[in-house]
This record gives sequence, C-alpha cells and structure tokens, in this order.
Amino acid sequence: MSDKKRILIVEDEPDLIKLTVFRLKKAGYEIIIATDGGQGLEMAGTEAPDLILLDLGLPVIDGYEVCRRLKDNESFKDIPVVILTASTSRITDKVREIGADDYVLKPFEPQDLLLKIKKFLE
Amino acid sequence: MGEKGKISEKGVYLGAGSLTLACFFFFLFVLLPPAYYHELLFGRPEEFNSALFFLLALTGYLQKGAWKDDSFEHWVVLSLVVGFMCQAMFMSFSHRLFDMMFDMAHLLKKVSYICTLIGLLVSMYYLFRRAELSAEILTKVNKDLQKEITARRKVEETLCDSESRIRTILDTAVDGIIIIDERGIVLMFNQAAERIFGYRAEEALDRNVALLMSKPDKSAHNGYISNYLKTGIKKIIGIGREVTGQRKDGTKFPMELSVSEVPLTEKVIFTGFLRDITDRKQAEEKLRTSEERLSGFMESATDAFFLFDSELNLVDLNETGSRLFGLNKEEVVGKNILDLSPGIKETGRYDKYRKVIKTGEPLFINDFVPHPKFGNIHLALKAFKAGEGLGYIVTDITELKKTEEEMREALSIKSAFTSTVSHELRTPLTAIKEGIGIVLDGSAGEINEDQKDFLDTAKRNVDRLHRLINDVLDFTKLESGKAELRMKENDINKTIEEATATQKSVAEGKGLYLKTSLSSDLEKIEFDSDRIVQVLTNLLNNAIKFTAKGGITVESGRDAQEKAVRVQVEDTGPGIKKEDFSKLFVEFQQVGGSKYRKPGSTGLGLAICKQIVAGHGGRIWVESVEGAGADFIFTLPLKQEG
Repeated sequence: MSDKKRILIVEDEPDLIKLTVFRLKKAGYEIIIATDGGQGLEMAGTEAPDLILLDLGLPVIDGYEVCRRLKDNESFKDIPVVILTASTSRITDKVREIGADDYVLKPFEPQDLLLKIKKFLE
Repeated sequence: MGEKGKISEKGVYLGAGSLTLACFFFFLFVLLPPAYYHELLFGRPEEFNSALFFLLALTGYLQKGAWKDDSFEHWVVLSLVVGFMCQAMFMSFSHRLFDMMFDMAHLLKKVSYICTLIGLLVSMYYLFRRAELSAEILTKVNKDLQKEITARRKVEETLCDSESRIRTILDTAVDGIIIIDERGIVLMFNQAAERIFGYRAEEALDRNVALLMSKPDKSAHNGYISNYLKTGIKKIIGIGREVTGQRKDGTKFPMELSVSEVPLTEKVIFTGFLRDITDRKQAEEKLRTSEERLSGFMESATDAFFLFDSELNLVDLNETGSRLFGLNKEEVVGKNILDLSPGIKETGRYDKYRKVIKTGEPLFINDFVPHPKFGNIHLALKAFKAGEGLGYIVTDITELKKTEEEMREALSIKSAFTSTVSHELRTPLTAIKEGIGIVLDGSAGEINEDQKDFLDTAKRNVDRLHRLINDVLDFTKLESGKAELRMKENDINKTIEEATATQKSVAEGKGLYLKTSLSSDLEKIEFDSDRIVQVLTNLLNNAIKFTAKGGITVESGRDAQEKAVRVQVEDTGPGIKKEDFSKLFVEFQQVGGSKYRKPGSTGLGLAICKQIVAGHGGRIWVESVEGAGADFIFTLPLKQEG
C-alpha cells in the first residue's frame, strides 16, 4: 500500500507517541517518528512526509525553531505542519508567528486530530 | 517852643473875665469921663483894652497852633488881627463921633465880623462836606461789611456742610470713632461705636471714656492722657494696639485702638479709632491652631514636604525632608532649587515645576531616582501650586519598590509555576485520555457494556480534570494580570451570535430554546472578542446546565445609567437566592449545595468571567428571584472620548 500518506510525528513523550501512532495507523496512515527537533528536521529531509505533527517542547531543537526552519526552506515549506501542544497561552499568535498551518491542543479529542489531518491530506 | 512860654487857656479866660468885670465895676462907680478926648493923642485910650484882649486871644491862638488844622481857625485869627488893628490903630485915635478914624475902626470891625462869619461858613461847609464824605465812607464800609457777612455766611454754610459730611463719614465708618477732650470726656461717639459698645451716643456723650474700658485699662487711662500731655510720652496715642473694651452689658472684647492728638487753638482733643477684633482674634486663633496642627502633621509625616516661593527658592521643609535628603534646614532655606537639587534641569523636572506654578495643575511623578548625592533611592513626588510658589510632597518608595519588585517576582514565579504545572499535567492527561479513548471506541478490540460504562466514567472525569486545569491556569493568568486583553473595535452582537451558535445544539439537545434579542443601534466598542466569547459561553453553559424547561435568551442593549453596552443572559431555571448573589463570583464557591451542583463544574467559571469583565472596565452581576429564573448581566464601557 504505497499510496498511504506518510505522517512524521515529532514528539518526545513515548506514551503519547505509542497512542498517537496506534490511532493514526488505525486511520490508515503511515507513521514515522522523531523524538527530538534535530531528528525531526533530518527526517523531514530524508523521509519526505506528507504532513508533520510537531510538539513544541522538544529537546535539542525546540518545535518553534523546527517549524521556522522547515518553513524557511524552499523544499519543505509546502509540507503542512500541525502543532501539538499543551501550552495554551497565545497559541494562535505563536502558530501564526512560526508559520505553522494548524494546531491541536493537548489533551485532544481524537476526532479533532483526525479531522485536521484529513483536511490537509485529502 | 517850651511849656514855660505858653499861656494857659485857663489863664486867658480868667484874665479876660476879670478884666471885663473890672471894667464893669469901674464904669459903674466912677464918674465917666467924656467919651472923647479931643486934646489928647488918643481920643479914646480905653479902646486899648479891647485891643489888648484881641492881642491876647490872637497870641493864645497862635501859640496853641490850633489854626494850623482848621480853616475856621484861620478866619478867626484873621478876624482877631483885624479886630486888634481896629481897636489899637483906629478906635483909639478917634476924637469924636464919625470922624475918619471912627469910620475906619467900624469898617475894620465889620471886616472882622465878616471874617468870623466867613470862617463859620467855611467851617460849616467843611462840616457838611465831611458829613457827606462820612456817609459815603459809611456806605462803602457797609457794603464791604455786607460782602464780608455774605462771605462769612458762605464759609459758615460750607463749614456746616463739611461738618455734616464729616458727621456722615464718621457715622458710616466701619471703625468706631470716639473723640474725647483732655480730661477724657467723650465729645463725639459715632454709630459704629454705638454698635460696638452697645451705648447710644446720648448715653456716652459727656461721660468719661473710662466707661468703655475694662478694669486694668480703666484706671490707667486717665493717667495715660495726663502723662502724655505733661511729658509727650505716648502710651496709646498714635500707636495701633490691642486693648480690652467693655460693652454696656459688661462683656469684654478685644479691640484695636489708635489714638491721634488734635491740637486746637485753646485745647487738645484726642480722636480714637477702634475696631472690634473679636472675629479676627478668633480667626487668628483658629489659623494658629490649624497652623500648629498642620505643622504637627508636617513634622510627624513620614513624607517629605518642601515649600518653594515663586522663584523656586526653598521656603520651608519638614523633618522628614531634611532627613531624607540629608539637608540642614538652617543652611538650605532660601537657596534655589537648582543649587539644592543638581541635575533637575537636565531631567526636565525643573521645567515641569515651573509649569505647575504657571498652570496650577498638579504634577505626579510616580517613580524617579534623584541625584546620586542623595543616595540610591526611589522617590515618588506630588508637586502642586502653593500660593504663588510650589509645594511638593516626596515619598521614599525605595522599600515599596523593593517589595513591589519582590511581589511581582513572586507573582511571576507563581504564574510560571502554575503554567508549568498545568502544562506538565496536560501531557500525561493526554496520554490517559487517549488511552481510555482508544479502548472505549473499540479500536483496540471489543469491550463489554460494563467495561464501557466504567471507561465512560473515567473519561468524563479526565475531561473534568482537563477543564479544571484550563480554568486554574486561566484564572491565575487573569489574576496576575498576565493575560493581556486584546482590545479591538468589535461588534458585540456578532460576538453574541458567535457564542450562541456553538451552544445552540447543546440547548436544543436538552429541549431548550436559545434565542437572541439584539439592539440594532449599538455603538461599536473595544473588547477582546475571544475573552467575551469565553464569558458568554460560560454564562450560556451555566444557564443550559441549570435550566430544565423553557430556555435562554441573550439580549444586548445600551445601559441607561452607565456609559456602557449591556449584555444579559436570561434563563427560566430555578433562580438564585439573594443571599447567594455575592458568593457566585468568588472562586471555588459553589452555591446552594447539591441542589445547584452539577457534575463537571470547576467552580471557577464565574470567577473567570468576573476577572475578564473587570479587565474590560465593566461590571457583572446577577438579578434573580428564586424559582423564577436568573439574569446574568455584564456591561462593557463605551470608548472613552479623547
């Protein structure tokens, strides 16, 4: 099934990765995982994902920086980036500032997340 | 001519008289000789008698010199000369009747009479003439006199006028005016004096002025006057000073008295001007007390007070002022602010002070650091116009600033802590929620009804925990002022529609109506629409939660009293007891016990609403009658002019 859409999850919480991966795989997506910002950027280059789910509080390079760099790069800037964050303060401003395409607040309703992903991949 | 050679008038009369008598007796008793002696040289020698008489009279006249003054006398002298010549030269030489000598003598006699007659006439003429002249002079004198009388009368009238004028002035004078003579007897007592002392003028006139004085002054006063008249040493005279007066009813009062001396031609009188200064004394006393009180305040105040004149020279400062700035009061009073406080021109404060003096508008400087020579301190200052100059109150806020800094830091730590905690709580919560979710929706395999029920309960409570965390974080941010409101010009009706739309399905799902009644002519106002949606959502949530039947109406309108827009959420629920109104908006206070407690509420919703509305400068409150629904109302102020 090579026409499966590929989603890159950049997240440092193993439990959350496990659950999200389960949920998204069930929904029919191919998932690749990066556990810090540096790895995330690297994999964005090597794995060519169709969408990136990006946590903001990441080790090595934080999510803000990762997003900025992706959006500054000609070859990556068209990949939709959906921010996953537990931080609520001024989130809309922050998302706009770093150029992300959308955001989902933790804890999220699974339907919310799937709906937003679907919006970008169909 | 000496006295000796002068024949006295008496002698002349006596001589002539005795000679006449002698002749009379002689001719009575001697046999008269014939009238003429033809044979003798002198035909009638007795005629020499008369000649002698004339001669004597003539010399007497001439010697007396009276003829020099009067023309009549001249004529008499002439007559005497002629009479003498007649007797001596002609009559004596006559020898018989009607000879030539006889005729000549009689002729001369007649000439002599004529002379006398002419003299008389002339003198009469002069007499009349003089009388006439006198009359003329008299008329003239009379006229002058008349003139003088008129002039004098005029003067008298003027005097009278000016006296009545003076009288009027004296009577309308505010000051009491009393005139006394050198014995202290009252000669004049004006209306003001009547008012001051309570005596009528008639009662005071002709009495001793000591009547108006109280004990010690009374006895001393007469002494003053006599002493002054004797020695010229003034005790009261000319000098305005305070003495104690006594009214008719015996009450004493302070008065200011100045006395002037009026020297008249024959005597000296004294004019006294006096003023009842009871009110002034009282005012002075009041002023003194209030000044004392004020200076007491100033000295004990923990704030520094400075007072400058219009040129910004230091006039006064209080104890705190000298302590705070390390100034010695004696040294600095009178110095200019530029010398006292270096650098104030550069910081612009000097110009601001001048502006305060010019405009009278007070100046506040909340926090500034003075010249380093005063140490590392923070000051707050209020400057204001004081009289023509400037006053300012300086508060040492160094400690306050430190505390404030510490508090801000503490609040910031608290907020950061809460934020971190909430953030950290969310991550595991996400995992829990997602874990439950996956099992619950059967993604990880079939579960039975009981398992599903328990997991539902778990999920509901996770959601509640989630809301609680959000609310706590929200409330903390609002409380610490970290949640800045994004004020923008918005349409409140749009915001209401937006908030209502999301709740409509929930309400309808419960069988309730949710409608709006919006005023169409509302001014646009500035508010943070996200936050107001939050408030409305909260209010709607509550309303839906507590209403079993009926529904909810949201209204917008102009608030009549306040300059504000008013939004009202009305429900048909059970209503709220009046005594619970105030508790409603306090965090974690849920009203009415289990009756109103609904699962899932955090107890922070209305407290957050209150914070948000207050942050907009508005007000939120509830109106309700128990059993008849509740109205939650909030206002948002209109844009301030300017």
